Amino acid sequence: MIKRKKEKQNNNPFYDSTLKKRHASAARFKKFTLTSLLFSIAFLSFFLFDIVGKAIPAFKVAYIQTEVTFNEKSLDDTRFAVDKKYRDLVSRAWLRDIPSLLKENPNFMNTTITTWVLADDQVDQYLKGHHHKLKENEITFVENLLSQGLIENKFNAIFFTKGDSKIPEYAGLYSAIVGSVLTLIITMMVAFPIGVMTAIYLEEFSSDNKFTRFIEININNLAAIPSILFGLLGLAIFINLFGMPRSSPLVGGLTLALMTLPIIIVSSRAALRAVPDSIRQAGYGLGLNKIQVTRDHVLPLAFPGVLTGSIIGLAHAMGETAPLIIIGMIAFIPDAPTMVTQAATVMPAQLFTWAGMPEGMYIEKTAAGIVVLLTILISLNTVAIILRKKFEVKW
Amino acid sequence: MLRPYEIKLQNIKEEISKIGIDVVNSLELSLRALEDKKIDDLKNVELTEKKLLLRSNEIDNIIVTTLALYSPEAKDLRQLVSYLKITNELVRTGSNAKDFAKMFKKSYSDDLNTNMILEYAVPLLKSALLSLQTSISILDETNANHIEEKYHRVIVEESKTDDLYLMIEKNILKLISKNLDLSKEYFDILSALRRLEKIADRAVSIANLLHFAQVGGDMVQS
Amino acid sequence: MIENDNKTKIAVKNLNLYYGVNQALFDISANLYENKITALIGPSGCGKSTFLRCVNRMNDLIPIVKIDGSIIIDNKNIYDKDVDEVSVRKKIGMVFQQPNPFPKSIYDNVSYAPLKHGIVKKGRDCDELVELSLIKSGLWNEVKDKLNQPGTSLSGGQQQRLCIARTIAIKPEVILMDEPTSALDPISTEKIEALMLELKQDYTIITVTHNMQQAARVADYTAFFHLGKLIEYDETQTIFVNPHNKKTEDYITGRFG
Repeated sequence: MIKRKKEKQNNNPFYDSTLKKRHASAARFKKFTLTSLLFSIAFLSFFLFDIVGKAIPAFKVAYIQTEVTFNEKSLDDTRFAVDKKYRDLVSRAWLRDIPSLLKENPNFMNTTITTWVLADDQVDQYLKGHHHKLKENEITFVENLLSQGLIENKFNAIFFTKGDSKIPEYAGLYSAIVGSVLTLIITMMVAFPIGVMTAIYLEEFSSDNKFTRFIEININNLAAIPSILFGLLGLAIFINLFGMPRSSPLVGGLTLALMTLPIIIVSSRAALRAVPDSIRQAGYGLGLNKIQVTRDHVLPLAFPGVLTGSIIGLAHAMGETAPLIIIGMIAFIPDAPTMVTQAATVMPAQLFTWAGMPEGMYIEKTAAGIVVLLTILISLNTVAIILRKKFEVKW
Repeated sequence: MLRPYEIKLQNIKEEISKIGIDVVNSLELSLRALEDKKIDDLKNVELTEKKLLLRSNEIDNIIVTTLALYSPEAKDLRQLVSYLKITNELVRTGSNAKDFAKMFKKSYSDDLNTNMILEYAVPLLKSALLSLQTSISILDETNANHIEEKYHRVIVEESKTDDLYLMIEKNILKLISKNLDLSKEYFDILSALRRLEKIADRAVSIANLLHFAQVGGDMVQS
Repeated sequence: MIENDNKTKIAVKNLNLYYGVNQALFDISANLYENKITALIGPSGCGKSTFLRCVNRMNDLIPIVKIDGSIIIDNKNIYDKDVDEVSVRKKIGMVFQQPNPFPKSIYDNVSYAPLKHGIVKKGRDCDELVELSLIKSGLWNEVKDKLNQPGTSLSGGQQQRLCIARTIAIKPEVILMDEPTSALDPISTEKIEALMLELKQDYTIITVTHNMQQAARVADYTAFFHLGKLIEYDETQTIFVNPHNKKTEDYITGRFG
């Protein structure tokens, strides 16, 4: 063994005896990091798999084909619009909607039409194989209908067009989506200009003294404050002091704006700082003043970074629940708000509510809501990346 | 190459050329005087060492400035260094030409065997003139082949002057041994003719330096 | 001082500069001449760039800088209270060491400042000014077909010439150059040096260079700085052939710095 080693040493000027150990150590490290990566991927995949698996059933819901009678009696008490046998199998909420259906089609009056009626949530859960509360005879009847082809699973448009409801099969995400959109519009309208202007002032115009450094430290600290405290702040100032309407997108938006402001300021400052000083020097050298240099040369270059930071802040705000709960956006909101001063709820709050409901159908609706929320967030982040790449200026 | 640098180089070359041409002209004058047997005309040779020195110092200073300001390399550097040495050679050549004219005129008289003297002096002067002329003309030459040709021609003419001088030296010594009272005059004539041989030597030196400037290698003073 | 027929464009008198408590320039006085190229040379940190930036008041952008003394251009001290630093920089342009074209098109690079200063209006006047500036800086033929391409798409030497075009577009009287060729290759450097020799007919040029040979090649006058003091200021020929001060000689011959 020693002889071979010595031979190696003699023939090979690059022989180094410590290399074997070092390479082995490097390989071990590589394996370790790879394992960590695989573990993270596995964890994420499991989560995604589980959620998507739970969510997919929510996008289809059972409809029963039966006769619906439109007359005085049925309008008075909508339960009489269908046959007695179907009464418990059909969605009560759908029946309650008959008057509006009549308004759209006045010629239905005093007729009986065969149409697809939304099934009760227990029927739907039974068909999907989940826990249900159907009685024996009801099950037989349902199976009968199924074999006759009178029960079908249709796309769950209700999920996207209707607001929250105490009746599970009629609960949808629509009002929460509208609430989220309105809230975030307010957030952006407030946080973006203030944040970017603050960043410009701090970076370009302020002089470097104790006061500005103090401000800078505090802004960085604000970004780390637990979001629920912003909710308390919103409650105390906007609702109590200013008397703004409770659980409205206005208050929610302002609260989230306060929360997003530090993120926007910090990322905008980084973007401004990344602009090379040589551009500013060139501008000053040509006899331009500070406004012209900052507005026409520095800002356009920093803009992609500012935009990216804002979109990320926006995505962050979209998923915030705790502060909005404090200001009351957890209330039961069946109708979508039309103005920013009306009561509303946001998507994460809606999901929080649904997660606490007893009925089984809410489980899959919660999962579906999570999927929708995730899709929106991922799209926003993708848009941020695309925009950044598109506007990146090559040096 | 920057314009001011170009201008300076051109200027230096022209000034050196001018000195060379002045010396060549005085040699031509001397040749005509000897050929026409009008030895008195030799007094028309108007070269003074003082004036030549003045001009060569000027050129030298310009060369030093150019070296300081433009840090030339390779061929440019070789050229400038050659020019710096050539100004020296030209001043001495001018001196030699002047000395020849003065001394030849002073010692020439019909007492001497003028036929023999002129028989050798004229071709000697011709060769010296040709060698110097060819040498100076290398200044304006850019074609490498032409430079080689002229270089060789200068060497050929120079060896001719060597041979001619040896022959005339032998003959004059013979004449001296026959006419001892004219020995001083003959010696002076010989001295004058020796100057011509020196001129040819310097022409070779100049050609050497210009050749080095063009081709490179090591600088060799001959 | 030097005796000559030159007209003084910039008279520097007793200039002192402090970065906070540290003094960087000590009592600098010199007359810089019109339509000549003056080179500022010296080892790193000797204050030549700092001095250059005093001439167009770029040092005013640094908060801790304090300046004593005067720089008189066209009979007015540019450090007087009633002189706006922005207007000084309109008359005195600057070209920097790293070519720094704006990330806009070549046309916009040259036209931005003149339009902002109101020298020309948008349209034919502006087009002519852009063309003239690019011709003067020797770049026109190379870019006339691609004026809309970004300035950053050019090579280093071209970018620097674009910066020069941009500077002369605002019609300055003096051009300051802070090591304009130190980031460029030798061929581009030669082009810029030839350009400087042409430009001096219309402008007064002051250039900082750490490359002595460049100063020797292009400058009419050279000033040698050392540790914030002006050691010697004379015709370039004198400085490089027989400098009066031993420190100058040591620097030129490479014995220090």
